[in-house]
Amino acid sequence: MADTAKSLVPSQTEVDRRHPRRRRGLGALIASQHQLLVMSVPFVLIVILFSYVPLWGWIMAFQKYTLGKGIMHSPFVGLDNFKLLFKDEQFYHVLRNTLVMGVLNLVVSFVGAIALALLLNEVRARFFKRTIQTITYIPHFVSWVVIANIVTQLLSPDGGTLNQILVQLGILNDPYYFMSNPKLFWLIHTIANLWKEVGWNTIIYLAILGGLNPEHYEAAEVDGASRWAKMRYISIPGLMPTAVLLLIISVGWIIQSGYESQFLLGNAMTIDYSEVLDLYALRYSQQLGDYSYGVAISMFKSVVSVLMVLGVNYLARRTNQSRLL
Amino acid sequence: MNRTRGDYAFNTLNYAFLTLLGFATVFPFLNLLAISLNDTLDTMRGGIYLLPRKWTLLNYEIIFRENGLLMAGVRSVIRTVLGTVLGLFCTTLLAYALSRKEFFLRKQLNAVLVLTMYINGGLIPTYLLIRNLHLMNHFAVYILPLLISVYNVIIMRSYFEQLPDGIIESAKIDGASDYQVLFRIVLQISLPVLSTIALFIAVMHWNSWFDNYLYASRNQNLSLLQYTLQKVLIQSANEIVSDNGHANIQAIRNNPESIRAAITMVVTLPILFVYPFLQKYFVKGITIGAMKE
Amino acid sequence: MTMVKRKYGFALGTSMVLLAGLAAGCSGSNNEGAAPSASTSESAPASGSASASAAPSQDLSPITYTINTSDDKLTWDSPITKKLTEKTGVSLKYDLTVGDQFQKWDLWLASNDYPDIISLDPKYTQKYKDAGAIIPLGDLIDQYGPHIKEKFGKYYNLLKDKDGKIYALYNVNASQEASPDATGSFIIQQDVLKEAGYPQVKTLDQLYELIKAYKEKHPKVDGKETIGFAAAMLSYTMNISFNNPIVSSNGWPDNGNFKVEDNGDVNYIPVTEDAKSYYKFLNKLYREGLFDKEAFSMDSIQAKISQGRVLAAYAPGWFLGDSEKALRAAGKPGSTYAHLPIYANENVEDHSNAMTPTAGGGLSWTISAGAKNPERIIQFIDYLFSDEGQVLTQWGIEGEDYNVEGGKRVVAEGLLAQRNADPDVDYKRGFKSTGTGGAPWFGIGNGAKLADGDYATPLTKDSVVQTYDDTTKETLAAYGKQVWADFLPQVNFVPGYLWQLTPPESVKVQQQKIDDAWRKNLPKIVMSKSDTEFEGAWTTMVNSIQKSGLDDMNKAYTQLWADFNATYESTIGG
Repeated sequence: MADTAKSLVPSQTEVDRRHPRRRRGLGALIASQHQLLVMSVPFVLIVILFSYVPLWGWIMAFQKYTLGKGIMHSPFVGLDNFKLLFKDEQFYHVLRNTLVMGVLNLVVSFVGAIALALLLNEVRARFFKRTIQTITYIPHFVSWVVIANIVTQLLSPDGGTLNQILVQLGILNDPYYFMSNPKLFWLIHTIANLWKEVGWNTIIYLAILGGLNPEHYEAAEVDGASRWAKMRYISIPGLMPTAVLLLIISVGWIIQSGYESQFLLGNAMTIDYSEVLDLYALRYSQQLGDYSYGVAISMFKSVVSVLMVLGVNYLARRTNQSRLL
Repeated sequence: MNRTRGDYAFNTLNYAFLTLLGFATVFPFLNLLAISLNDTLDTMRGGIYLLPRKWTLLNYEIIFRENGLLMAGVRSVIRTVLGTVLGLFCTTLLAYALSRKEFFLRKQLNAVLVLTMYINGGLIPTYLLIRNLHLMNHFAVYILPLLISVYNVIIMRSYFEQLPDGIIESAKIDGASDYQVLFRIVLQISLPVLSTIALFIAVMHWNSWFDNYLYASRNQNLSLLQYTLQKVLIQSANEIVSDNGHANIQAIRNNPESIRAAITMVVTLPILFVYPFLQKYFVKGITIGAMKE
Repeated sequence: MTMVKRKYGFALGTSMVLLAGLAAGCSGSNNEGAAPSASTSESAPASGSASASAAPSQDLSPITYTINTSDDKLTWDSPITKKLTEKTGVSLKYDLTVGDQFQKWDLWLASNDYPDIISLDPKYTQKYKDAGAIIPLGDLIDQYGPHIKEKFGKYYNLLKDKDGKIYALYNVNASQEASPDATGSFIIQQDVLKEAGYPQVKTLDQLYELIKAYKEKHPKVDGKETIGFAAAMLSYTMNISFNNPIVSSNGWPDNGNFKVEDNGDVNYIPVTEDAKSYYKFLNKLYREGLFDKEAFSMDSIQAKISQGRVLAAYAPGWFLGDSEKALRAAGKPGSTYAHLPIYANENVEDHSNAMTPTAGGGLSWTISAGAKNPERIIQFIDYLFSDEGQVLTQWGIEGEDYNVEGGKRVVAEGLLAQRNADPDVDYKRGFKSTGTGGAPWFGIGNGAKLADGDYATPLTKDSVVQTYDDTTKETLAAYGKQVWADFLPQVNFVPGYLWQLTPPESVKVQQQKIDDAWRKNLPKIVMSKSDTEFEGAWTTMVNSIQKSGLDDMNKAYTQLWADFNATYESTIGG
């Protein structure tokens, strides 16, 4: 009993358990599942209240909204805001940057976090493991302002550490202005992001690994399985369902990248590669006082997000992986 | 245990790599610590790495001199504890219900929840909603809107779904209710993930200051630590550029960089200790659970 | 990036205050302020009748109004503010906005929930007015604001909005001269000047020779490379480092990114020939290794300044922050700066030391439609504008903050000592207020005089000299000057600055694109390695800016400026 309780073999044996549904009426269904209803419906209502009710704000996207007039009295302009958006060259530029950086971040931090979790999992010395784990997620709590500062200083052509080392080693003759090269921006941004978040992203995977049944490992060891085999046949399969799920969730967030890191690491020289959709929205909507434009961009993002999630979810379902929906 | 040479090499490399990574990631923290302990004016000259050049505790003094800081800290702790306990409880209930394959609303509710991760009505409608619910300047505004984080629900749901059906089924056949199944069986074997979700919720509550700024700024009795420190920071930044119009011979003002560093320290240190604490607590729970069986 | 506009406005506002101080003057025509030289307070006939009408009828029952501020340290629990309550019955309760106040203003408007007195900038004053959230003040001022009218004098009509009504109150400049703490904005290390024997530095070419020679002799400072000329380009600092020096070095009044031609045409500065020659100067510095290598990814020059490595730069005092103080604390007073005006060439006529009659364009006080007894607020403001109120808010309380010696007000020694010991003393005494324009509590300007013939504020040449260290005094003495302000040309009176006006709605998108094109192309220009490359990069930028709607924008601003001047002439005339 205890063994089965702890084992985490994914239950592929999905027996169709819908039997009560058709045979008895809805009333009986509710009666028999009233506990589950009580456990879920009130909370879903709260979520609906705070997430769906404010969606009336999307009406603004079809208006020339001003604060003074409010939603009731602002004039409707049809799809003008969307037309403006799709006509703007700059929009496609920032869309490309958003997607590329989003995908880079997603892939690198996904692989990085899982790899780090697996490596930490191999550590026997508990104190060392704990310490490293705690230390690696510290940067998550440090603001981007500080992180960007450190990165800029590290890469500075005016006495920056990296340049000093490269010049000392004779790899470079003169210090190089890394932050001025737009082609390096994606790389710098991705690495900085990995460094800041990898430890934090590892936490959940370590928790899952911690929940795997130790007897599987012991049994494998008795069978003489190598370290690699244990990783491959026990650890990774154990992580997979959660990993795939998180991956699907994150795909939807690719387009909602935020702008802090790009803004703080970017500059005039790299702007063709560093400006992302959220920053564009901020500059062209909020700053110009045009709320409607901002809402239109926000709606666009939501639609793309949902489509991407549905797409990936479909793929996951096709390949029999865990899914979000 | 038979240790091969490969094993040995791997271990050495692994330890070396992790140690290096540890250094790389602890650097910003130590750097901030050094800056926070360095003389405010001297910091402007740059070049502080791991050790302060001119030691001082003045930056911390300035922070702790701020009126109401202690109370703000207490409120932040209360908010975090309350928010985490309630949040974890509700998340667990919801995640369990959604993990039950026989639940007839499972798919629909799940879809409704998942969508909310990607849609956003915007600041103004949300603000008006909070106002209409009379949550403005009320402690509940810290708890209620953040009660359910869908992301956490999904992670937990997925974890529950992977638990073997056998024990739940047999318990149900024995006549256990869903509550009993959840609290007596499921939670007992989900401690690692519970502690992780608890950490996520706690960090979210601890770090959030936007709701304080947006919805509770007019009630001084609701000021949280983050918001209060934000005030200190903005204040010290203001000073640098606002000294005009008056014949004042300025006393030494503080450079925000050192203040910011000290603030980061004050804000980060408590939360850094939460996870090891949670881990310890939950790991103990696991061992006790294992011994019982 | 959202900060750009806002910070920029603020930056200019601050530099305006520093450069121009506060003044009232004649109607911006070319005749140097000789005309009716009497300050408004003296010339206004109203003062007698004003005090007569204000005192007896006033309701002094206690009443509290809320007002928004972003300044956490403001308190009503101070001697001066208590005195204000005693005199008017009014207390203010500060509604603190920490963080993005523009966002807060939006949300307040959307939810009809704002303080009684709302401190807003001109753009938001318009928004609030359009929504009917603030009330017109003209009638109330007619009835309860004699001192307001008196201090504004002939400039009273400038307070009026396009619809002829007054919605916002800010301070008026009644001074005839530049504030003694004003300075030129080019800075040169005093050691550089000393070593060269304190030469006259008038032009950018002279500046170049000077820093070149010095860097050759001193290639390193404390083991790090000497930086000949520093600048910063991130976010709003771009305008400080790459627009404003063009304005100053050509002696124009500060109209933000625009140059107003003699014929009234308004042109975007970054594409003018004047801009080109300034960028040429920067390019020359860059090619010789005298320009900061990473200027294009910096948002401040303070760190490098504090290291004592920067020989020269364009930096208004506030842009330096505490960095000069850091240098002094590190025992390097010689690395602090001379603050001088420097010109593009010998022939520049300097009109940059300009003053406007009012402090429009910054924050101002508006009264919300929900405020009870708005006349009490006007009475309160009126008291602040009265001579008694001015003395109370600018000088403080007699016997505590100042003494009268030989008929003149003198700051008390005790207050001076306190200021050295406690940076917050001005808050604790109650000298600080919020959102009244350039000076706290609607002050009428350093150098302005009240009806009693004495100065309205304590800031004088002597008080400024007191703040200097020996090195600074030595440098100034070598040039035969007393304060940095002595290097500035005569004050020029202008009706207003272009940046004080609400930007034309019709071209805001173009303007954004144009600014983007400028920002994006400029690094290549400054960093070009040859003259051909420079010309190529320059042409690319000009083309890109022209394509983004340059002509439309210039036209819209020309119109805006013409309209403003027409209104100005007609209101001051009538």
